[in-house]
Amino acid sequence: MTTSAIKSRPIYGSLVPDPTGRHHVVVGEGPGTAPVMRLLAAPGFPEHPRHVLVAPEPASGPAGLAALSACGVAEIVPDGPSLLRRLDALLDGCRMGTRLYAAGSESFLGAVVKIAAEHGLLDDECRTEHAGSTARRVHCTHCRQVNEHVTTNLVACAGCGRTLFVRDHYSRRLAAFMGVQADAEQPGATPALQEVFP
Amino acid sequence: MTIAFKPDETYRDDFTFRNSPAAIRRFPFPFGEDVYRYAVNIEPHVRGGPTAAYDNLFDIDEHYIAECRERALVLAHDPKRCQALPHMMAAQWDTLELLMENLSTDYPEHFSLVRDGYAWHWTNRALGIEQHFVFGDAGTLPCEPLEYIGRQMQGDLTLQDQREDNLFMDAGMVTCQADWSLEFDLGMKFHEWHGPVPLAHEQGVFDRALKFLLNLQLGRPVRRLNWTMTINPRMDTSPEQYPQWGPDRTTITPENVGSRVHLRVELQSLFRLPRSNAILFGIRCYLISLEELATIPKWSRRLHRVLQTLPPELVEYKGLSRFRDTAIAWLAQRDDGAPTSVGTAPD
Repeated sequence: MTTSAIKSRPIYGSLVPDPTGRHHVVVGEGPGTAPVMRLLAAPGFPEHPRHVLVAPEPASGPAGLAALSACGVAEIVPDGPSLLRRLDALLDGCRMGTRLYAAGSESFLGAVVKIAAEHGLLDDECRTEHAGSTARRVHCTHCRQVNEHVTTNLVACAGCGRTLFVRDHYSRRLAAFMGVQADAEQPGATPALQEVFP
Repeated sequence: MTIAFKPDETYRDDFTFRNSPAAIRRFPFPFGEDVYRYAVNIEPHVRGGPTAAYDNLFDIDEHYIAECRERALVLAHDPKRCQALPHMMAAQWDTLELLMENLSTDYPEHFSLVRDGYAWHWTNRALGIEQHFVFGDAGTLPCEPLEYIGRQMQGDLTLQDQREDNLFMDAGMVTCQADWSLEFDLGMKFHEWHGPVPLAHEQGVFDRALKFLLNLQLGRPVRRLNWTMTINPRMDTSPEQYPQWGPDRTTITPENVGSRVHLRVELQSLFRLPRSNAILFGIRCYLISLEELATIPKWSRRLHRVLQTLPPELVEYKGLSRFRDTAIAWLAQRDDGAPTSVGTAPD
């Protein structure tokens, strides 16, 4: 679980069934597969109506995929981006009482919650559980490029080439942390590069 | 009273912005005592206060025309400095109405509003604008209502939607901000957009402020002051433009500190809006160089003492680290240790 003093960052919990829901959508990416399987097996989680979408880690193999099918995963997609496209389409038809459960990296959770909000789901209709890497999506405040999978305090922006410092400030709307030029005041004077979001 | 505008002033490149002696005396100096103390410091936004900057609910001064031109330059370069989520249209119209009513009532020489039902006729003589439009029909204005009226105002505006016992920053016109980004903060809740502020969360400041604002009443606006320091009279100190203004902070010397370091004060006002139940947050920015400030000896004495007692976290957060000592040394030469009078008004 990721907790921090960052006020703008969501607080992630643990996936448990929401008995007030009338339709359950469950999504998991990579290391988020395990929390999804745990949720599906939880007492009181209805078999129906629900929809389960998983993008497992590439190394899962046939046995892993069989285990997913056995516990009720309806759809297995190749990767996170295709899962998000599928989720977007799925939520197009979502009704009152829909509950969304998501597990995976912080970048993935951010993207899922953003899609959910665009479909009108409220914060408390979405459950999230963080699993795996704490890598961040970083929005360059200067050129608006989004840099994926940033594990260090500094990142060279893929859009404008500036060295960005990753601020502890998170936007749900952009599903990203804020990146601001690290050496704007004194060119070349950047803090030491550190792996801080492994 | 007709305001003598100074239309050719600039807030960039050659920085010709200056305050007249009268503009100095009306500056909303923020420090009421000789030490720095953090407080929510919210008070009723009523007409009248320590200086003439408080005479009207929306203050127009000698910099009006130049500041509107600066705003237009920022928007031309980056249209996303003005954004509104789709559900904020009612709040946009509320804002336009509140601003047009106040400006035309308080400055009839410069603004007028004639209403015949929903057919409105707005005149802004200072900027040479005349507009017939239908209130509530955005198609009859050249742009959305918030952008239309925001381009004719000094200071930034944000609109907060109220729902789920929280405030959401769902619209704004933000071109003269102290290092925060509307594009990044748009859609955030109250505690989220205040996330980067140090110390105050732990003191419960934002919990209390939010509770207070959720109960803000129509017709009973409130205000507070906030401050920082800026190199050169630069309005646009946004994170977006940090590569342009960041280097200025390394240029301060004992010789230029008096003319280049500016105290930047935000007179922040909050209004409940009638139809949308949203809150308008006005952030009116005032700049004054240390040399101008020192023409009021009480203010330079007090700023000297406040800067000495500022907690290190705030020195860092406000971005003063590189030049605070130089500013303190300059101000020390103008502080004879004499007691200062109570309150913020000039002696």
